[in-house]
Amino acid sequence: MRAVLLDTAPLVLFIVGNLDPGRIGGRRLEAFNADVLDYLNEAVARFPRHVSVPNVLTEASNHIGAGNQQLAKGAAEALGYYIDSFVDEIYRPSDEVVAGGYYRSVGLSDAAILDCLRHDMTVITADHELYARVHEKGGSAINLFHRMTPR
Amino acid sequence: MGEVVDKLTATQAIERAFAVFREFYGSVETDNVLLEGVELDREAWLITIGFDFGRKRETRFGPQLFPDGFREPVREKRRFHLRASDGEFLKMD
Repeated sequence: MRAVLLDTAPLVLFIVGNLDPGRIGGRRLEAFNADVLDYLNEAVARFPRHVSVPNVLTEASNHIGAGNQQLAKGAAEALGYYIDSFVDEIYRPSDEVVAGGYYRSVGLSDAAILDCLRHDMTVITADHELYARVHEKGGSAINLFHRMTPR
Repeated sequence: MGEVVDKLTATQAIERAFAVFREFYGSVETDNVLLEGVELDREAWLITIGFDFGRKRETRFGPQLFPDGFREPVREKRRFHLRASDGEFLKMD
């Protein structure tokens, strides 16, 4: 059963953009537009499973904020619901990820993603370097920005 | 209270970056030209555009006598720095 892993920026867009589309183009979502959210929603709907790593979920939580500091009202709760109801979390201890070879060049979160990559998983990202590395490993990835290429 | 300065939207900055890209590379054979990255860094949009260039990278495997392999285009990326307030092209790296 194919699974999708949303990297941090697409996950923040997915949560906040669907909750309050008016936030698209604002803080943390400057780079996106409504069209790419539609595309993300269509892409996500094709996958019956969601997986993630703690590093990405923590980054997304930090970006979304909590309490009075949330990017959109209810965003922290929506992220919590997403994690609780949809995400199968893949955990690898950071010392193993750091020892895995990718950490020095891509940092801990991307290294954790690359470390847990499986043949039945697609990574949706807004990071072209991660996109390239997933492909180098023979994996499947979508760079959201490709969708925003002017026609 | 600080002065409010209007900025280009991401979509406007992307359009501008592709126009600059065409100025630089319009006469060169490129393929698979795609937007790769968008960042807002203080007062500048950083727009990364990727493209396949004319050169091909050859990957060989198999015995030396009967080598097998494939050729794939070299993927290049350029990042265009545009002033966020008016889209003025600042530099490319």
